[in-house]
Amino acid sequence: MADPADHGGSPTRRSILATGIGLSGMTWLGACSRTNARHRAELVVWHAYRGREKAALEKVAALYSARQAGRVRPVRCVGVPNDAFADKISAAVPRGKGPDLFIFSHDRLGGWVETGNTVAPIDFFLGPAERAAFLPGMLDATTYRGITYALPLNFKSAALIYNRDRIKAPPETTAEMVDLATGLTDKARGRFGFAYAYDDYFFHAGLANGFGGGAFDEQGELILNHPANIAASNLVRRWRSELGLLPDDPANSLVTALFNEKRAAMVMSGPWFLAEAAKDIDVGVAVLPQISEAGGRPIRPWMTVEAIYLAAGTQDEYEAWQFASFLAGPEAALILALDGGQLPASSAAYGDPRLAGNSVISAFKAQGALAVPMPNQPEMTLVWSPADRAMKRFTKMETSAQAAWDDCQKEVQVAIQSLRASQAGGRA
Amino acid sequence: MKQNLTAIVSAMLLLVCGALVFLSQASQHRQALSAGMAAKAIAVELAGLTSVALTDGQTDQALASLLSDSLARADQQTDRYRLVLRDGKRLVHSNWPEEIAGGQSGRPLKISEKPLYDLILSVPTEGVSLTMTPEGARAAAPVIVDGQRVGVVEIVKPLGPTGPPLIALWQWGLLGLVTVVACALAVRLQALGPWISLVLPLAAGLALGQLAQAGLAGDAPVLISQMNQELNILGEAVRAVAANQGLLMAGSPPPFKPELMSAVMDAAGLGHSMLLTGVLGALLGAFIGFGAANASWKAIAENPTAYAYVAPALIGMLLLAFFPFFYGVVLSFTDTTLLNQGASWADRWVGFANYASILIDFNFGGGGNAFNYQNFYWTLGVTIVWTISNVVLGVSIGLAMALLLNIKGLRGVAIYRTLLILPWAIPNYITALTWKGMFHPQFGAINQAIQAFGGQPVQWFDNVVPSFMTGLATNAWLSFPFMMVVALGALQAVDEDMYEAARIDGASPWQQFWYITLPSLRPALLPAIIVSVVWTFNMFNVIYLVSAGQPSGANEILVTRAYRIAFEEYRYGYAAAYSVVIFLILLVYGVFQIRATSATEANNK
Repeated sequence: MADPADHGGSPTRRSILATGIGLSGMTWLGACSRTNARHRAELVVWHAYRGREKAALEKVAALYSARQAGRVRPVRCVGVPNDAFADKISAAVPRGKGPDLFIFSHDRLGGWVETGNTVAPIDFFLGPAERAAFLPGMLDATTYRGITYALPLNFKSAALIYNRDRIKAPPETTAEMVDLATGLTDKARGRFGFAYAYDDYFFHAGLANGFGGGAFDEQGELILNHPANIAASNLVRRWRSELGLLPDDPANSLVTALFNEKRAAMVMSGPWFLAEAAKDIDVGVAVLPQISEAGGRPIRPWMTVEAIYLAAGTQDEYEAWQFASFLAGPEAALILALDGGQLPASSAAYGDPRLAGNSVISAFKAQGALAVPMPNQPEMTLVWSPADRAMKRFTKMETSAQAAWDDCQKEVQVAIQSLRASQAGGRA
Repeated sequence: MKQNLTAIVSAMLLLVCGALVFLSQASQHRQALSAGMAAKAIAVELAGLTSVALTDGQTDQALASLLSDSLARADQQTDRYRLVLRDGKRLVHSNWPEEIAGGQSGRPLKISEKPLYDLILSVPTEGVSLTMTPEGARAAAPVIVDGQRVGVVEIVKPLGPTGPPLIALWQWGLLGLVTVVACALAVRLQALGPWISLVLPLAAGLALGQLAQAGLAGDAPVLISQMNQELNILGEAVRAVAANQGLLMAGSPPPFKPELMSAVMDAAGLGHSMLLTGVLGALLGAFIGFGAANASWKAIAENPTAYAYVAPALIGMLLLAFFPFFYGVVLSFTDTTLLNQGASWADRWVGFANYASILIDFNFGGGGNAFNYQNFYWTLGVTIVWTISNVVLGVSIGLAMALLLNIKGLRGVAIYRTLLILPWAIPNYITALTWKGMFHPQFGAINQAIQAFGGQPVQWFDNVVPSFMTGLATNAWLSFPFMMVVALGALQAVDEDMYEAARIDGASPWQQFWYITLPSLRPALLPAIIVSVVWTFNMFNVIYLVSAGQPSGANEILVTRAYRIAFEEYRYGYAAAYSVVIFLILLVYGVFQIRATSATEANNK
């Protein structure tokens, strides 16, 4: 039951000063958005694709528009520069200036839901049959607090990428990997068996998740200094400092350079790495090894899922939904995979022999099944920078993993509290 | 005389128009508020009834008659209501005739009715959601079974009559009378006129604010008791209907309290708004009354072409520079973050709290904790050391290079000059990333060079000082060409005869440099140094890309810190305050510098 004080709850709590001053502006803005809300002749989709992904998306849109001609509005794809994309959505959609649909990765979802008026829920349209059409776990990425907001299109996660000339059989456990790497590493001459950006929290999270840790638990509580995370961190310390297997200051550009100069035989990276790999190297992709130190549990890297969202306040949600479900369906997924090089989230798309027979795609798909969607709550953005600092502190032996993560946990908690306080209307 | 009358009349007109807007806002707001409070209470009651009935296993038909009977007994049938259930996406009941014909039981939701389903998802488990629409106040309360939101009851309550005016007619009349007297006074006593046009709107704004506040406070108890009466009738009706079906509804609806209305109406806010209008009116009155309006108009009338030419630039400046700037300043007084961007300004307003927490932050850590490198004063200190060391280094290298290039008879000057300007011509983020690569502990060129000469490699980013050096080296590389070009230009303008005269007088090369070269360079170098200080103070790219503030944010400067607060912690208001502090520091520096340099210029004359 509602608290008595709730009768005059926050939505109407607005001082007259603000309403009065804002009045003329509001009327003006309101008039603008009303004129904007007139029926557009096209269904507008914003995306940040370039090159062949863009061509593939436009092909799907043209196919859909031709097939549905006369029944629904044609689809128009509008490219938006990637670096400005998220801010543009946050600014335009709540003011009624946005598209009908947009394609974005799942990690900003929580922020948009909490801000409000940005993304529309799709549970109404999403029946059990539609849910079953995606690979397991994909819809978890686009679900925030029990409500689903977007249809997954494709996913990316790190896997083990190796040089086939030097690694005959990829290691299945970390113990095997360490053995293999020890034989190949000569740190003084700059040669390594295994290299990855281990002090980057994004890549480290695979190990942390494998040990049963991570950034947040299932209730959404911050657990950066959880014992599982400490154990994962100590394993990296062992690899780097005790066994001397990993390079110092490993930026992603360094990892790429080492692999391309044949100074690193195995790296942990995602599908984007394949485009950077030197053409003269015979590249293999395998699932990341099981962690011997964690009882054989798999390394579970973070996965980002790109999805199609219905913008809040679009004039005809059902029409937008029809295109979204077509785009996420097997036929479009196959076009996006074959022409655009994506890893589809639709499970039926993998029935096609061109995908099923491709060893690289199969390896990334198998890795995807073990991956964990990156947390989509807005607090996650507060974690990155402090977590990267903590990673650097303990990998460089400045302090213990425990102390580094304790400090980091404290710092992020303070940041989360000040963010949440603003939402509760609390005054500092 | 005419000027005085215009001033008073236009100031009062502005005040009255503003006051009318605020007053109509306030009474509309009060009306919406009472409808909203009532709609919420009804929605909660009906949702509670439905929850109890659903837990008891009642059919849709029974639910529908429970709801319509309750409203019929309470005589509230002017309100429209709907019951929607999540399971099966059903519209169970509605008294909207176009949705469900009389007597018919529920049906699945149509595609166009998706918003009703989304309401179940968006309504809070504890509480009610409320939106204002042209049809009236829409309240939605969740139907809860076993702690889960299984459905929603929505009430749409049309807005009631506006209620009595907040300021009575005779009070307006009195205001008119006072204005007429003031006008007469201003005509008689010319010198007093401007002062009247300043004071009268202020006093009138204050008085109107007080009257409106009193009006609000007086009406609130009447309104509340009327609403409570209706609520009681509804509560009894709901419980009677429930008892007929053998259902038990606990308690009775909590009554509205009088202070609820006053708390939400924010009468003080209305008073402030009136006073603000009074201040605006006074400003307008003074602007006209003291002759400033007349003077401005004359200036524009005398030079219409000049102002026409300036207008586009002026408008551009207003939109592109001043508006964002003032927006940032206003933002700095709020606690705006990613999560509350949609809230009203009043709800986000925190006054000087952001500035206080920035400037009163003396938490330097220590005592078992790591040193707090995020502290404002540490960052400010780093920024100042960073700026001074960079400018000193940039100027010395630039000057040295310029002196070398200025040697008479030097071969290949054009080639050297082009080569030395290159660092300036390459985009600075490319240079920054290149230098970052050169500082890599194992594969970087710098450590490899150190090792080639038998030294130990340096872990550049692990400690505060070496990490600071990486940024310093990069920025020195980026900044010396500018200083070199400026100094070279000035050097070539120095009269050769002065050196000749000095040599004849037996001056040493050092004395020539100290007494001829440097003073001649001063007019050119000083402005260059001033802008260079500002650039370096805000040199985001080098810090962010080379050391990224390592270790542990110790080498962050103020701008990179502001960036991280805004885009990594999403605290926009706090970051805006941080930026305003940076601006104020540079403003103080700028004013100080301009005074210092104009003093030297005066000495030169």
